[in-house]
Amino acid sequence: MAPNELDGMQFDVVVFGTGLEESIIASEAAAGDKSVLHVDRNPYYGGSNACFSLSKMLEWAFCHRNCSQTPSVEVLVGGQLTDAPTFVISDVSSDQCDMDTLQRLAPFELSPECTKKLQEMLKNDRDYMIELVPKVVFCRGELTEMLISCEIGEYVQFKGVAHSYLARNGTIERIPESKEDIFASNSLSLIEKRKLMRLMTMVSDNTLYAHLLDKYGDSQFTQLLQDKFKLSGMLLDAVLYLIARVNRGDTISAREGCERVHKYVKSIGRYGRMAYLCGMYGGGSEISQSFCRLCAVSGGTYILNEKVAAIEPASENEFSVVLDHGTVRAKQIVMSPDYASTAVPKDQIVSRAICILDNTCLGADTTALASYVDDSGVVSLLYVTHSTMTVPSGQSILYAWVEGSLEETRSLLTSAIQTTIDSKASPLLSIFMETHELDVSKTESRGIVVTRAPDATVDLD
Amino acid sequence: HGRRRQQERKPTQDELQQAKQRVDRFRALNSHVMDLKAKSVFTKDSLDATKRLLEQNTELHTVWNYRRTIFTSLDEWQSQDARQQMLDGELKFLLDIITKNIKSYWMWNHRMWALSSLPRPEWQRELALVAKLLALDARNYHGWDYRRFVVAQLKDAATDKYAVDIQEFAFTTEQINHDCANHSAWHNRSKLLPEILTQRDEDGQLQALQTENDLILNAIYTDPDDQNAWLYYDWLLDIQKSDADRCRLLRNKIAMIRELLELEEDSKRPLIELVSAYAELERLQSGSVLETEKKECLETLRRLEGIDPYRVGRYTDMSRTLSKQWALAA
Repeated sequence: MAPNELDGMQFDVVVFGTGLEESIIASEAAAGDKSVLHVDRNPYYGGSNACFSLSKMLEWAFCHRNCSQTPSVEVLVGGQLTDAPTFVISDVSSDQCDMDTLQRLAPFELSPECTKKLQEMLKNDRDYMIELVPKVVFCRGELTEMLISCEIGEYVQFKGVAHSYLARNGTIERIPESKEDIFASNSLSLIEKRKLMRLMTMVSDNTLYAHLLDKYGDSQFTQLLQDKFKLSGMLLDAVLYLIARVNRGDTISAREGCERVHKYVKSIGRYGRMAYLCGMYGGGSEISQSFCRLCAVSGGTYILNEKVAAIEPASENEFSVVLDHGTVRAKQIVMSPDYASTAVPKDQIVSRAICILDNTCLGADTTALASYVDDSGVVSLLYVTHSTMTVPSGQSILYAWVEGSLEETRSLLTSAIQTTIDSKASPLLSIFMETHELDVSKTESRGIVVTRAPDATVDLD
Repeated sequence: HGRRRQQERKPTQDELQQAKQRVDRFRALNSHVMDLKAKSVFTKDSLDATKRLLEQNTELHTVWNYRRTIFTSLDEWQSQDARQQMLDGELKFLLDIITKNIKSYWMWNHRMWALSSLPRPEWQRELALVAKLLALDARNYHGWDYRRFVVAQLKDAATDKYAVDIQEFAFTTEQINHDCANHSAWHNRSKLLPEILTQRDEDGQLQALQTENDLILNAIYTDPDDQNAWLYYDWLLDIQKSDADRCRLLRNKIAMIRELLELEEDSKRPLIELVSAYAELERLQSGSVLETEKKECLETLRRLEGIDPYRVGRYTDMSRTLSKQWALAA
């Protein structure tokens, strides 16, 4: 592009960042006949939802990681999860992009063993699609309906999250979800099966559900599960942490809890015996890109690798935006919070681990969700294999995440991963990092729509 | 089976017109064929006419009969090869129209006739066909009945008949795991189990019955309202060798019901099963049921009158009968 090619152009909407929320808004705006300019400072789509091959993942850690979002990235090559990291990437130097991965790592003086391991993995570089923020989609949720109505569902592929696991007290058990799975399950006792079926039927029958909310809506969810449904032990944990996704120490109302169970149960059976779908080829990123595609088809303009110097209100209804390739005028601005100059990390930190394993621990071809529960917290885990085309055949990736700083949660994450792996595989490469939700000051964001940074929930809705 | 009925909409003028034309054409063809039949015309042409008619309506059993008579009257019937060819064609014809009305008794009957008349029938292919059908509709009676017919033929020709039974038994297990409310699968299982038991020694039999017990308990706990599961449990009880075994299973049944009732005290089916369990127990072993338990049964029947008012008559009748049998005040 010519240096001042954009000068003087005017748009109805300028969107910064190609994450999921921004992309959906961009495509909606374009469909509504607004002129849209969608820019991203990165040379890739997806923003905070992006997805990378192994080499690009390391490049992200070095070059494009926004400081306020992710202070440092710890990488552990092979070894045990409890070992100290092989190297820590903490400086952001954006002019080292497009360097060969091993060259880039030279300053860390890795042992020949480590270098060899990395080289082996890099041979299959393109087979890896590592997600920054892994998420799944409810089979009958708002995003799914949107994907269907926008016809994105016709070309973005998904795999069903076939199994759900609960890890507690050092062991991991598969928790059945549908009637067929409950019938055939070996993890639940007979009476536990009855209790689970009872909960699920009551919540999915409209009359019974309404009656339930009427009578118990305002009481506490845990109380309801214990008193009315007589749940305890593993089953209680499964409903609280796996199905309703409550956080350790949180108390939610019975109404809220039942709503979550209701949403979960409603999703089962639509595409199979599971409640969630996992995007193939890197879900979140693929979906974001699809919305961008839609926007482009409706006339939106896309520029990647475009830095934003300033966003200033120019007049009553306009903003002046200074980009690399010129200054444009915009009636409305939409931005991902990491584009705001006053963005400040909130207290909400999510610590994340990405563990590439040399084997398939929860099944050779399956996708699975797991929750690890112990006294210090609840860790969400997502397990993917070659069937989602995000990892070479024979290997798997285990994502784990929990709210809290890495310092506080490092051992919790490690326990969660180790219990889930259950000695069936060893880590080839582990990456630990924090992602921060950002706060943007009110003065800066006046007139601007700021989207939300990805959070710790498991689904994209 | 829990599927919503679709709203019917009124047909348009156009649609009514087209329907009338179809009916007229059909009526004409029908009279033509019946006419040929009356005149005992057994030619290739009449065969063709019946085919066109049956394509439109598979329920005309007289026409199927007529078609069979034509086949057997043709000269080609006498030659093995020509007969094979004709009937292979017939099987293909049936396959083409099977989707029109999968539940047509006459069509299935005709298929069985064709296969029985074939010099070289392919039973494995038939098994594959019926497996496909059951995959589409797992509770189709015709499918299951036809499957039993095919399996019987395979068993006849097999050297290891027991292996055929085992295979079929495994098939029912598969269907049940897929849907534990598949009554047809359970029914088929009940036909196979006695055969399988005769092939095993004492230990093997106990093991097999224990497996059945575990399986049916899973079904009952998954859905205690499914009457079929209870029926299967009772049937397992019946095939026990001794009354002592039966009483033991009845006591287990009662314990199971109590556990279920603790969770859901007004659950209709477990309540009625409780009463019938005690009644049966007393019948097998007079005096084994306590006075308090008998009184509980009558109280339960009273409660059921309120829980299930549609069957008040049944419960009052049971009350009366049991009271008399047990010499208690109703």
